[in-house]
Amino acid sequence: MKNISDDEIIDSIKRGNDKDFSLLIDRYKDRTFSLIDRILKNEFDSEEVLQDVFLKVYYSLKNFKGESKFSTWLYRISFNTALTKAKSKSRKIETEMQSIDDYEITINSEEIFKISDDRQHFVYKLLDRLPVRNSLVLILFYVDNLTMSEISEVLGVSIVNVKVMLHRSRNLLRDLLIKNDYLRVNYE
Amino acid sequence: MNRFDQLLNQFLDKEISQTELDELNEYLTDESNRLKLIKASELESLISKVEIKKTPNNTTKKIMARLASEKLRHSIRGSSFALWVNVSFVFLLLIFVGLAVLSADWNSTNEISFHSFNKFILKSSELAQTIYSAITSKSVVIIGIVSSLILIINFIFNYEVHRSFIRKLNQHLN
Repeated sequence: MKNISDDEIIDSIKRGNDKDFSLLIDRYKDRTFSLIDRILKNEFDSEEVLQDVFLKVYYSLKNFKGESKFSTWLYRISFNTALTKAKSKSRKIETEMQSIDDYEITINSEEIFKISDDRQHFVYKLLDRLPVRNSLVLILFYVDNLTMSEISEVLGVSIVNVKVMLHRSRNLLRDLLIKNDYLRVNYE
Repeated sequence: MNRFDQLLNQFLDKEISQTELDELNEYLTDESNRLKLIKASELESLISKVEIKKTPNNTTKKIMARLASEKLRHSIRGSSFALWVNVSFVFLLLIFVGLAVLSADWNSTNEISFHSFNKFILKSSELAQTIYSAITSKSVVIIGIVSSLILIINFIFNYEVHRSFIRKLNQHLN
């Protein structure tokens, strides 16, 4: 199954093999769920939005021309749907509103350090507390291996903005790791 | 930001050319620069190993089931529309047949209460008059037969739509 490309699966679905849609779901459900949950921070809502996203994708598949990668297109739909859900629930996404500069001041890395088992867990917890867009940029770039241009398409911001967010988030994480003796080098 | 940091950032952003990479390598003879690169790579490695949150069990099944139910809802809407179109068609056909019969009666007996109304309607435009002149006793019979045939075809079509709906409903319930 891993050898079948996304485009081949999509072609098959377009030809009427609806059951092949489950292959796309299996391939992307975890990453999509993770992205949505990073915005909503509620598993129940995230699961509901995940279902909505895949239904939207199914019904829009006939309009998907393959100009961008399927994953980029899927993530953009997920990001927008999750934001709409957050707004509809009038939920104040603090981390979304907060700028990374405020974050640098207010973050209590010692507290996160105490509840972390190791540095991998520490990084995970820090990412969880970063402003949503900043953590998403890092995840999409390093975990999903999206390019700057693809990330800008997903988040609906310019490539320059993505680059700035990536640099600042990376530097912040680096400084916090050094501060807690996880990266034993002093940069400055 | 010095030149080394700039090149390091370009390297980390995966946007570095071969010439710039060679230039970066030259900077790496300095121990502190090499450490910076190693630690930056270490950070990258830590981020890239961040675990992705798993979906709850049966997510794929749940989505496929919801998809099936949505499609069923769509097909019901489609069937309702087809039914609405057919009912409207039959209704219009009945009006037409009724008018034709009334006109024929009026033509032969001249005693129908709709006499003046029909006369007004039919004479109000040239098109109506053309239709009126085309309707004779024989043509009314032909129209009746054709209408009956259309009604039968319509009934068969509606029956098939209904059967297809029931089939989809059973598939969904199973």
